Amino acid sequence: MGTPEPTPNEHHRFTRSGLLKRGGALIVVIGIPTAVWRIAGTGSDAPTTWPTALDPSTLDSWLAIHADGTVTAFTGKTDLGQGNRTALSQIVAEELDVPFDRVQMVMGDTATCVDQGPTVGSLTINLAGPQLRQAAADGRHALLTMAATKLEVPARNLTVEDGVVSDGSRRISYGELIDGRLLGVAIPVKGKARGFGLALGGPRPKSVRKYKIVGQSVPRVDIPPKVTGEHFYIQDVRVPGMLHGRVIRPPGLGSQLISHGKPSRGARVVRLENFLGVVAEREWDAIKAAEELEVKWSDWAGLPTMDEVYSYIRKTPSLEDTVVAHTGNAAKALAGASRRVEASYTTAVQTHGSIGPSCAVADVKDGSATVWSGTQGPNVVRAALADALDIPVEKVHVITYEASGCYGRNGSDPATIDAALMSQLTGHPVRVQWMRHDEHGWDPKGPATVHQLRGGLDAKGEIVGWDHEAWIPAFFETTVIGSVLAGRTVRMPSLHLWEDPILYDIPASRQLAHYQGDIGSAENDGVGLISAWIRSPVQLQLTFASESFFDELAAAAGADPVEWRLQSLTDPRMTAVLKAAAEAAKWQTRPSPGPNAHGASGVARGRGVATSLRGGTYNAAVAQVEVDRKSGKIRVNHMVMAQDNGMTINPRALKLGIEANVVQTVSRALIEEVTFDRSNVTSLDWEGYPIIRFTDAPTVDVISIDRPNMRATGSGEPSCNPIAPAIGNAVFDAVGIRLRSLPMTPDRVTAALEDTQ
Amino acid sequence: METKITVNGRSHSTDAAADTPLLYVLRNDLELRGPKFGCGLSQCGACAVLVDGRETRSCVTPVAAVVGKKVTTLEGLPALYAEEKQLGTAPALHPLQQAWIDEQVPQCGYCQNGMIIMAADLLSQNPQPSDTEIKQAMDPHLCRCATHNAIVRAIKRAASTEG
Repeated sequence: MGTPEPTPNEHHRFTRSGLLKRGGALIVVIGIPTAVWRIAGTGSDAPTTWPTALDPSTLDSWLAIHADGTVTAFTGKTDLGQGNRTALSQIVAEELDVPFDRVQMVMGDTATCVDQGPTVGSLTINLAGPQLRQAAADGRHALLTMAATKLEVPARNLTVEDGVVSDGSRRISYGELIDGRLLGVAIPVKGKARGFGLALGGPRPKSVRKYKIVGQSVPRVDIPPKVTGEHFYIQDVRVPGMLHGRVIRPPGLGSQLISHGKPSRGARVVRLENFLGVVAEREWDAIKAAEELEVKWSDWAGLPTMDEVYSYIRKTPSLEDTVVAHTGNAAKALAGASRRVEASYTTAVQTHGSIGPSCAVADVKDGSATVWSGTQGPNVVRAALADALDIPVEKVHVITYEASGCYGRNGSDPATIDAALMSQLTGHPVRVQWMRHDEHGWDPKGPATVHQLRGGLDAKGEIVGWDHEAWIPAFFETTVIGSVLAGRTVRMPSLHLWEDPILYDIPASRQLAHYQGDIGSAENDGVGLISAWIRSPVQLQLTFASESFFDELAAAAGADPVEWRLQSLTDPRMTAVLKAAAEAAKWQTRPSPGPNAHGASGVARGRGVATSLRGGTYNAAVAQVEVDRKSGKIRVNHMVMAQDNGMTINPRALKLGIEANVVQTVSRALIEEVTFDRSNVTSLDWEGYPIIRFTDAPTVDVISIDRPNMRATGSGEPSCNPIAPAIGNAVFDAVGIRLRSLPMTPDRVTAALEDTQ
Repeated sequence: METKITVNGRSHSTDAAADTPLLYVLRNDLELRGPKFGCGLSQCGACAVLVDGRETRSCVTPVAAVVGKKVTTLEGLPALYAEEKQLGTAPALHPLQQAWIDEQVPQCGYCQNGMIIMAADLLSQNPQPSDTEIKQAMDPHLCRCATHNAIVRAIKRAASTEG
């Protein structure tokens, strides 16, 4: 008998016992485990086969109502550090009419949670929120039906408060009604049975006017254990008999393993073709062995140099050329314009830069795999594991734990495959944590992009034509490096599509995407500088180009950047957001550059604005900057960020998330750039790839426009999009130079200043 | 070869090799989850602990180097506070931990161990730091989620409740 397996990621909140039988697998929900450090799942009684996908049409797949009146809700989503666990619990508690603190959330366990799609694209509150809301509404209806039978009164005569049903005189709690049984209710599934498109039917959820929990700043449930050290991260998972593994990666993306020496004491080598690593009982022995092992690799130098990367991208043949959107005939309108402006923009390769290197634990034996992962997409990595291990997907169980903030697909998925391969090769459970150089070197990178913008003004200074063409070296899938090295190449599906809608009333416009394979992939069997976008896929790059260029047109027309946008915006929600930002920033109406922009020396101040729309969330940013003409350093003193994301579930968590996102993106706008040579990434630590520190972090004023009657859309990604262009536009306002490359480093500022002299 | 160290007021023996960084002894032998592996290079601060009250990067500090010294991890902060204030029993939370909750500081929270440890060191040296002093003291610690402003607010809150 193995140790009972706690359901994942709820250690800090369970205080009772209960037994649930779901989906054919027996799950024991236990009290706060006293020895949770050693998490089971590896006992002889652990299951070895799991459903292909949990059935969403069974209410028990979503909810468990316990005899003590507490509720467990199950979601295929994960919490990446922005408070999904709390927000989704609020939605469930609200709809069930139970107090918030009675709801527990089990997240991202492929055996017990419906697949609601990976936690990407700021789609959790937007899409999984309504799915869970409907499941909870169905749950409330089922419980009311039970109460109506028990009390022998029509359900319409019943009310619920704090999980207690009443007919006016008699009261019965949810716990008494369920009495340890399952709900046993079928619910209608409309649309798809899994993923983003899953939609449930049933009684209409509660009116927003009756909300008591949604819309409140409930303190985040994950925060207390995070400040005491009790929180379980994926890096904290240990299983009995586990070995510590470390990977040894090639020096070049396409290098082949020629030979290796003997490992140091306590360690042994694990190898499958070019996949190389070491395992040891003691973590330090594994680390030392990985450092010290003598390995010969072949040379490989198929990447472009950093100097030539943008011309390389422009020249690389596309996998697909797509007109993303068009109105009228942009080419004709541009040809007929009385004034034409054209500019190219570039953005650098960036890294996710998680503070905790990626980690996973895998136990692969007897053709079956139990895998603990920090993944964003438990079901996506489950399929990848099945492919890489060559076992059926039903033989893979992925249990998700929160990881260090990833902001996209960092090393979590590839580290998960690494752990699984090492476990399969050694016959032991293996914990792999990447070292800092592995994470900086091998997490999939936010790729470099190139943009060509063309705009035309008529004689009155109004925009008559707009053309945005972008070269985007990332397309639909992310290659998993360990699987490639092991000769079992797995590519995970990925979202890489253009999102940057034109917000202005422009009679003729076109957006043209040139999607390509990863940089250098053509020289190495499809494996190049592996790409996966960082926060706000493609849009951070697209909006930097489009909103900077819009500012160029405003300057060409001699217009105030805010006024000009307001005149041309077509969506009243965007107009309201822009006005809110301008007002909070005490925007002074005048064209850019400002009156002191052409001074000879010293520090100049400026302000800039930009807007964006992503996934239904509206943002406007105003940046207030200082530019040191001598050093070229840009200092962002203050950022105003206005946002309308429809209904807000948790206002305080929302604002704090936006504040952090703003500072993170200022870092990416100003200083972050992956360096590489012709073989591989060369920025392998925090000195090579610095990020923003306390003394450079701007103050942030977050303006949240709450629209409780509108659908709640995402918040993690959207607010990063207008930041870089707002800063670039502020630099133009301050010193009259137009920065068209990210990041806006002192070197680039100095070079642009010299060009104007 | 056994090494004896004192962590959070208790004596522990470990048979880890003397060059093993303290971090791995804390996490793997003592099963503490507060200190985190971040870089192994003393660049980020996720692994920070207090050694005789001063912030120390446990990822580059050999376990042998803390013999005879007092190591305090995030888990030991309430007891350390009780000792400093001569309280009979340790509170559930150190004032900094309470302030971190009150200000809802963490996003992912992975770096916050080092942030709270550094702030404890700072307040022990300078109980009423200015904003500038806080930022300068915290500058060697990295936060990818970029919760810098919330951290500054929490340190000020803790300082004001203590002052």
